[in-house]
Amino acid sequence: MNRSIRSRLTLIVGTAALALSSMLIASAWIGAQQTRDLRDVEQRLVPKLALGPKLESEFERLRQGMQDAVAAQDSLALEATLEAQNRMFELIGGARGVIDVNDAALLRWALHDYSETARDVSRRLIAGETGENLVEEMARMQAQQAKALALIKRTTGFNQAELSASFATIANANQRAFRLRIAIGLTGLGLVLSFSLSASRSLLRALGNLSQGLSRFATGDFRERIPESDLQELAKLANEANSMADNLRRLAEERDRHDWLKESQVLLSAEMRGDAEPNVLAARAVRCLAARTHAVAGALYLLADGGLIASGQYGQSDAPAVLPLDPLDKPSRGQGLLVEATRATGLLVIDDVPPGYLKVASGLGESAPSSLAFLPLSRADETIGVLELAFFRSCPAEARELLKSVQEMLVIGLQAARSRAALRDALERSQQQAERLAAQEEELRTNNQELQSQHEELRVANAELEAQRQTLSAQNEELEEARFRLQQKAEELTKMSSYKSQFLANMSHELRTPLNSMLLLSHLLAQNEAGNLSAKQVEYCKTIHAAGGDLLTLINQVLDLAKIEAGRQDLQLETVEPKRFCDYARRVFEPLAAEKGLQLALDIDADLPPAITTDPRRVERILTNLLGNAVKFTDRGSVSLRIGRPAPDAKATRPDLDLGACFALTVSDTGIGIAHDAHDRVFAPFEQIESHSNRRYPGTGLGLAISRESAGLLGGELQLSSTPGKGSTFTCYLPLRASEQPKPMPVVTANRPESRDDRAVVTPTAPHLLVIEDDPVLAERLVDIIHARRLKAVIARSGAEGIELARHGRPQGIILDVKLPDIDGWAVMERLRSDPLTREIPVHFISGVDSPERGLALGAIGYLMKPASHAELALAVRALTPATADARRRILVVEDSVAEGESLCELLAREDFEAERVGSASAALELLEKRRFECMILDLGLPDMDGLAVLETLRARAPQEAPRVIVHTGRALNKRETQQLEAYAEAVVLKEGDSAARLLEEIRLFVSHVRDTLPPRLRSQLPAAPPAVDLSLAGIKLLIAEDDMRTVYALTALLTSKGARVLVADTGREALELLTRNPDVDGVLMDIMMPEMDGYEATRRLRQDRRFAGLPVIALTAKAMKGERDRCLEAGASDYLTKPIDTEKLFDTLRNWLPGERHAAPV
Amino acid sequence: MRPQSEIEELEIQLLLEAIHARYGYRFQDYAPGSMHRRVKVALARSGLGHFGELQHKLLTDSEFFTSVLDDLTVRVSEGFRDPSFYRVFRESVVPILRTYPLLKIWHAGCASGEEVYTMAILLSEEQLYERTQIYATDMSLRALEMAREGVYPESQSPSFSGNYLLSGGKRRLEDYCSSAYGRIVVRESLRRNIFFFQHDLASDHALGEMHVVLCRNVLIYFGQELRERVAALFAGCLERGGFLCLGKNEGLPAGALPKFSAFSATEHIFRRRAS
Repeated sequence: MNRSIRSRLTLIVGTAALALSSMLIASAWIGAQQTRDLRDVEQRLVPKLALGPKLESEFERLRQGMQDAVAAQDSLALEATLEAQNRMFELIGGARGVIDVNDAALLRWALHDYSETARDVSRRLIAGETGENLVEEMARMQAQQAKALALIKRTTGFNQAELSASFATIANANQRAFRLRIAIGLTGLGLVLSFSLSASRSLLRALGNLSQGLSRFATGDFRERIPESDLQELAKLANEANSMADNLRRLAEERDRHDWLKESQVLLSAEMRGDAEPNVLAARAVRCLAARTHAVAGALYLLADGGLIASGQYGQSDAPAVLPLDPLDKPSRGQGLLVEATRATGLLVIDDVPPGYLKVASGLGESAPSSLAFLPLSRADETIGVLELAFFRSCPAEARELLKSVQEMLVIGLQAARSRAALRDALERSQQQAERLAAQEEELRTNNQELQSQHEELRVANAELEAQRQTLSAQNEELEEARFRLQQKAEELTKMSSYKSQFLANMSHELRTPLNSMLLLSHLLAQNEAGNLSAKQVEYCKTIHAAGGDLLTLINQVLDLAKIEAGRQDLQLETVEPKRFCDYARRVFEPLAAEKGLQLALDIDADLPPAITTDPRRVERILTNLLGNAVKFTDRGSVSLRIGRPAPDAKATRPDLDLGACFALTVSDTGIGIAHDAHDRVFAPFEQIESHSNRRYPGTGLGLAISRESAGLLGGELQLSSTPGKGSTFTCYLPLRASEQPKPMPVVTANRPESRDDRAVVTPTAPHLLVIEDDPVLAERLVDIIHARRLKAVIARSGAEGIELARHGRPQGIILDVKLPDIDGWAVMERLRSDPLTREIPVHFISGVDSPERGLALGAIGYLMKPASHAELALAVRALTPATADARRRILVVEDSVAEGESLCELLAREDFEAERVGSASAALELLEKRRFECMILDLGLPDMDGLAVLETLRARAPQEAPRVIVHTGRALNKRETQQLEAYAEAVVLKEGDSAARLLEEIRLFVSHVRDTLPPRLRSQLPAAPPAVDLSLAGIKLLIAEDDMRTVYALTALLTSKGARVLVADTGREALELLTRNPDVDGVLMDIMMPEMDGYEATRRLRQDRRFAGLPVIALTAKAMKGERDRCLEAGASDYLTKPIDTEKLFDTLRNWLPGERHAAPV
Repeated sequence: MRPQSEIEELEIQLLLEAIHARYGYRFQDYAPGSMHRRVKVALARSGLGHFGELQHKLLTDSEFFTSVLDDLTVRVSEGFRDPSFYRVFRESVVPILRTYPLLKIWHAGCASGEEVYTMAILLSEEQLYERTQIYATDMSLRALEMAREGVYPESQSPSFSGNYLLSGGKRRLEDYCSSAYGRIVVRESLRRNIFFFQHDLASDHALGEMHVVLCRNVLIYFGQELRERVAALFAGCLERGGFLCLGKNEGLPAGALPKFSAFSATEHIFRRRAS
């Protein structure tokens, strides 16, 4: 029912008006009725009432007029009063109908009576009358007056009943009218009220709704519309309000969206604030945007450094981290879109993503998003990346708007972050560089300081040296003085000596004479011609004779020597045939030799000149001494004398001796020989080699001294070569023409010629040592020592000469002084090291400068401080000449290629090795059985036998005798093969690169070292000798997983020595494989640092196998860091040992972990 | 009253002791000058007020320690750094290495690995890489992580290619790395024989049987005693005739001199003498 308020109001007003009008009508009607009634009353009563006063006032005027006229005595005036009486009569006549006719008549009469009387009295009074009559008249007049007045009153007064009746009628009518009005009013009121109530109720309701709605709207709640009112106006109002609300809602939504956008932007910008890394920033941005737009997954790819890098991700973690944008790489899944997005300028939204394109999973399930949005992060022309968001539903519009609006912010933020990061990186790098520089500077400073302090030390040392030098020069002076005194003494001594010799020479005759008689007589007695001497006495005589003979020889020799020394021996030169000496020798020594059962061979060269000039007796004396000694010291074999030209390789030690103009007497024997170091001593007077031990061979010890002196006297010299046990050879070189003037031997210690070295005889291939030393004395000493080792020596006096000689002579070793006249030894060393020709030559420093570090750092093999003792010098020389040519330098080359083998032999020969080549394994094994070689160079590709088999055979044969082996192969070897070979071989050298150099290096290394019987790999890292623990590992099978073979060998040796069986793996992977093949392993020693799979991982995997859950695994680690133990145990290891491995600890650990019944309990 | 610097030194000393006791890293033996500078840098970066706070935080917050560890160690690495070294290595050391059937190389203090890959490139050019096992170690796990990844921005080493050629490179660097958009990713084939592992030269034991030990620009940060220890470590792990390669400005400590001979004095390459 839709009605308007107007109609309602009209209804109400109408109703009210109707009620009112009907009331009015009723009232009017009732009024008229009442008016009628009242008029009736009025018409009847009112004139009557009005007449009274009028009459009364007219009456008064009448009375007054009469009184006045009396007073004035005016009779005329008295007559005028008649008019008042007439007017009263007129009034009464006019009041017909009002006053009862009877009453009116009565009244008129009364009035008339009065007026007549009054006028009569008054006339009398005027007339002056007095008396009784008058008074009486007057009294009557008064009575009439009262009567008239009373009558007036009575006639004009109300009739009570009539009035009451009239009023009662009116009241009745009135009451009726009132009742009517009440009825009409109540009805009208009721109607109006009911209408009003209904109208106001719906109005209130509508208004209520309206106000409620408006207040809702005011609070911003636009959800509920204001309900349609049934009142048109309000409905319209509600509609208006609703449409206003709609507008408001739209506005609010607009505002909300705007706010949301703003808020999102603010949030994002808050996220992007700070100086985080681009990645962090990107991650935050993605998280923030995804959360704001309710995306289920998102990723931000930054176009940098060669691709799109997933820099921030949300909801999805398996997105590729880097998408290289290499144009050659074909774009893979999703990448095309990304790449496309980088090229787009605006937001790219893909709805209806095919199923399976991407899955977003949660703990409860997974689903595929249906919409993807790509936002290229580009500004101006530059694109720095792409933001990708995935939505389950279509990408909402506000998300699009947000994405568009934040594009620039993202770009700027990320760019800023990237430049910040770049800046930070640069800063970091520059800081690090600065730190490195600082450290290096520090290092340099430290070095400088060290140098400074060394410098200081040097200065101190210099000062000390200076002091020492001064002391030395003082000492030198003293020495000089002493030397002078000594010289004087020596001269005196020489003089005395010559006196002595002279004395002895003079004594000779005196001594010999009695001795001769003694000899003669004892000889005679010994013959016992008389026959009276007992055999014993004859024996005594013979002894006396022999002793006398000895004494005579001694005396002769002493005298000879004395004579020579005293210079009193004159030469008695004769021209003789050389044969004479032969004859002499045969004559004298043949019987003696025959007596000892020795063969005496005498030989004379045919090309000797037939005659020589010499002192034959002295030569015979020499021969006597030499042959005598030869026979004396030879027990079997032969003694030979050869007289001839000197051998072509003979070399005189005496500079003035020309061997071409000499003849040689060579006496050889097969006797005991003379030790090398005794060669000099045998020529000393009164020296006998065996004097300290047994005196098996009698003699004065003067013979050789005399012989040598004699030879010298004759202008020749006596040389000796001998090998103990094999015999000796004495060679006496004598000039074919001896000179009259005796030539004394040159003094040994001084004035040696500079060219005493062997450069003339040294060829490039011949082994020799080079001595670079400017001090001649030291150089000579060294040469002596080198000669003593049967090596040749070449002396260089300057550095440059030394380098030159080293380059050309290729010496076996170099002894190098630091202080040299031209360039110092350090520079020489560096030059030698930088030249490939000389790089390999070992160098030993001998220097007055104490800085062995420097020498060693330069690569010297040794450093000797001056002054050095003879023994130290000899050691230095020995260090350079590690082995003389004997078994230690014999090398067997097993190589089937002839060319290769021979060139190798050649190379080795140049290094002074004796190299021998065989072409097959069997030949090698055969040869090795016969002879001993220090080293074998083994080619693996032999025709008859595998190299490894050769090695195993050798090892099995006699480990001590086996040569050291260097495997030299052109074959590529795998790890396993190498390890197997290295167990036997000293080194494995591939025929590649500098293999010759390395080969030599290796050979030199161990030829110069003490032979070691351990397998090569075991030498360096053998744990301490196993303690005497009672641990038996018999029957135990252990797996060692370790890539360091030295540790493996050491452990294997140790464990097998206790009876364990050992398997070896060198990576974690291999260990696992071995374990699965050998599940009966009792324990594992697991190295942590292994390639391919480390120990942690291997242990972890091993524990996953239920079979090995309880297997003892002992981790071996080089790491001593905190937490390492925990890491090992966490990975599943049972225990943990740090390297280097302590044997005792290892055993303890094994004892703890291995099954109890298999090993003996600890003591 | 002690001077300020002395107290500071004492504080740093205590801090390093604390790190050792807590985490096992031995920094006490590092060169004091350099170490102190770096502790101060770490303090400045942490934003903490004084060493005491730093120490407390280090002891209680192991995450924080990991980040400080990077400040304490200097990591500067560059591909083909010092081309002359690689040239000498290529020309003089490689011919000798060729004679070994298997090669083991220890790169101690490899930092972020550039030089490890450099060596791998060099060896593979010389056809030696297939028989080589490279052990690359560093103290910092984070550095090792980077090294393992083998992804380097080219921008950081613009001289990489140039250095490569200077060092005697025979091919193009691109053959070993995918180099695109300013980024270098080491190819998988180069990583195959490299084994990265955490190792602290200051406290851990040596690896074994190495033919080459590269420890370039590491000793400069160490104190004298630590240098001796490390040099002895290297002497112990090198095969006879093995090579020790130190950095440009580094020398062998005195104690190790008798165990090595100079192979290249200019490039600080030493050879292990036979003991």
